[in-house]
Amino acid sequence: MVFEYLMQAVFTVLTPMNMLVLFLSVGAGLVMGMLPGLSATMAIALLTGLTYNLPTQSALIGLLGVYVGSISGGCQSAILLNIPGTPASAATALDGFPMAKRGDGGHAILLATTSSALGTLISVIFVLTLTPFLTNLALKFASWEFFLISIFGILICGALTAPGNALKGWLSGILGLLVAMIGLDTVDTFARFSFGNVNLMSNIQLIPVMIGLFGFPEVVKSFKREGSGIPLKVAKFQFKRGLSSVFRNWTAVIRSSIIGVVVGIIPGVGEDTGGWLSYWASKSRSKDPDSFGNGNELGVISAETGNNACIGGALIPVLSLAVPGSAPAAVLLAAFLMHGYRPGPLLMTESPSFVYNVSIYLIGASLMMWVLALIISRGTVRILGINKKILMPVIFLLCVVGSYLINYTYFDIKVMFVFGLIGLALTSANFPAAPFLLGVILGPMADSNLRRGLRLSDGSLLPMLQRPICLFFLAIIVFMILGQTGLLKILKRNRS
Amino acid sequence: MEMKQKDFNISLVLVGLGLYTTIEGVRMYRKAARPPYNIEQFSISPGFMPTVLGAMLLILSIVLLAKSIKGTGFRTQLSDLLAWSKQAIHDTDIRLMVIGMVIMAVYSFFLIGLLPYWLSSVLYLIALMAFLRATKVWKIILISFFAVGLVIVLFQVVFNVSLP
Repeated sequence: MVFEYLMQAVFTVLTPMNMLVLFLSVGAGLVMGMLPGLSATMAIALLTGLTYNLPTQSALIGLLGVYVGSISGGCQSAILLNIPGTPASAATALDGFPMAKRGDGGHAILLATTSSALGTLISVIFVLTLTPFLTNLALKFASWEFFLISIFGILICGALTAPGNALKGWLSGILGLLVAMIGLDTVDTFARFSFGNVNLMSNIQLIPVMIGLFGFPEVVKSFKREGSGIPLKVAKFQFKRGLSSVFRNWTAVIRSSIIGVVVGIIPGVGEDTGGWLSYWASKSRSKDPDSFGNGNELGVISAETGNNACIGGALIPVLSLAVPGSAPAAVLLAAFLMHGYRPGPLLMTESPSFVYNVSIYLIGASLMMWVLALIISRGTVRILGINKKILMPVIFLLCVVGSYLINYTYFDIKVMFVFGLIGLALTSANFPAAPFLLGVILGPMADSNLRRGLRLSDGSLLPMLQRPICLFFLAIIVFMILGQTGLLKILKRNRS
Repeated sequence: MEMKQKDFNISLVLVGLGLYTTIEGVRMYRKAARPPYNIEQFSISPGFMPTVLGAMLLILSIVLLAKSIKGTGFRTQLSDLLAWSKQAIHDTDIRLMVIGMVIMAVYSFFLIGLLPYWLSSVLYLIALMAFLRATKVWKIILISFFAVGLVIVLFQVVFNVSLP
């Protein structure tokens, strides 16, 4: 059966229409990824609205294509300009830029692109093996477990996306949860925070919120005056040299892939962390750690493999638990929901082919990315030279269209604008937007499951404390709160 | 603006929001206790989650507020905020961003509903790019028509969806 699903997915990708979608989406992802200020999250958020009318499988191919493309595309500007196109490529710049300065820019791009493709491909193995296992585990979940896993997801996302100040991440998550409360509640159809407005009663749509939070601030920030960098030239590739470099360092590729997948699985931790951790692991195991930061090939290979392996890793909890592993994966979860899929424990029962489709589409996207990235890299310098004051107003046009297409209402355009202002205020005060979005996504699940559980137990929280999985989540949540607020240190000090 | 000052500003807003949400949650509980809902138990009321979230928002934003005024004091931060607001009016970057957002708001809230999509979008692009002095005027006009044309062809012709 699994083989049939996989073959079916292969044939779906190979249709001319879907190949075109893959080509365009990976290409768009690469371009958006390499332009600093246009993140992977924004790229997927923008495309989600645009795929609304596409056939479901084509839309999925397009979304995964733009995800893989945008995470991989960031390395080109990181190598040529020392400006990572996306935060995921920040670690790549450390060694990629020195390589470019000494005339090895083309070689560095070849290494980065090949490692990116390998990272995604290896992560697919984990998607195929771990997702059914986690899905089976999640079948044991009831209302209390779903409530706690939503809260756990938001808390850990808040803590990890606001390093050094988890408070801001948690506040952002609470704001998202509050937004999810707007409209008729799913248990009693009671209108909350609606002010008699019919549009608000039918809940806030996720896509305009997402586009507003991630797209709008980048558009507005580009209005500032800025200095322009001088792009370097891309030297010619030497395929034999590049490929032998990557395969000579196969242990680093495998290690970085595993790190990337594990980091991706943790809710809220993104591709940037995957890249940095893989880089750090390679550096700490190297016989010549001082060469890192001065153009060491292994630095580029590790960082790019690690950040791309996060793609598969981040998709594992999305598919099995409906809890996204990273900000782009959160947007992707919303897109899956929009296209009629219900990721979570019942996914393997309701849509058994979905996991296999996603895996094959990821493989297709990574192969397409490898080819396209190397072709595009010849024109990277020109793409990076596009005036942002021209590009960003046009991007806002797409934000408007993307928001409008969900329900064909002007109201959603206004929602996008309002959440854009909120996103701008949050980012300017260093509040991460990812927990906010996660709150909006997981809010209905948390609210309805908590109240369902309470209703069944006649308002008592005691049953939550009698279930082993709940106790496990509660212990992690308490430990995390104590750790992040510094109370754990105080407790340890008092005890000693 | 310093991060502590930004934390102070945003925590003030969040304290207000937390207060409002908590009160509104309690009001929801009271409303739900009456017919037709008749939900008298607070923990299963639709107002439960908003009240809990509002209270958490209030507590956490007070902690953030306390952190932001540590070592400076509430009044000092407040006067700094007022001083910054006066300065901000003359800041070129802030002025560019605010006026840019006003142009975007006019397009999103009014123009797009009043005029045909292509006209409102072309007007918006010309206005914003001209304000930002993105390039020469004739190039701005050309780029605006080209970009809107591309969007229309892509969505209305290729994807077969209707635009605003």
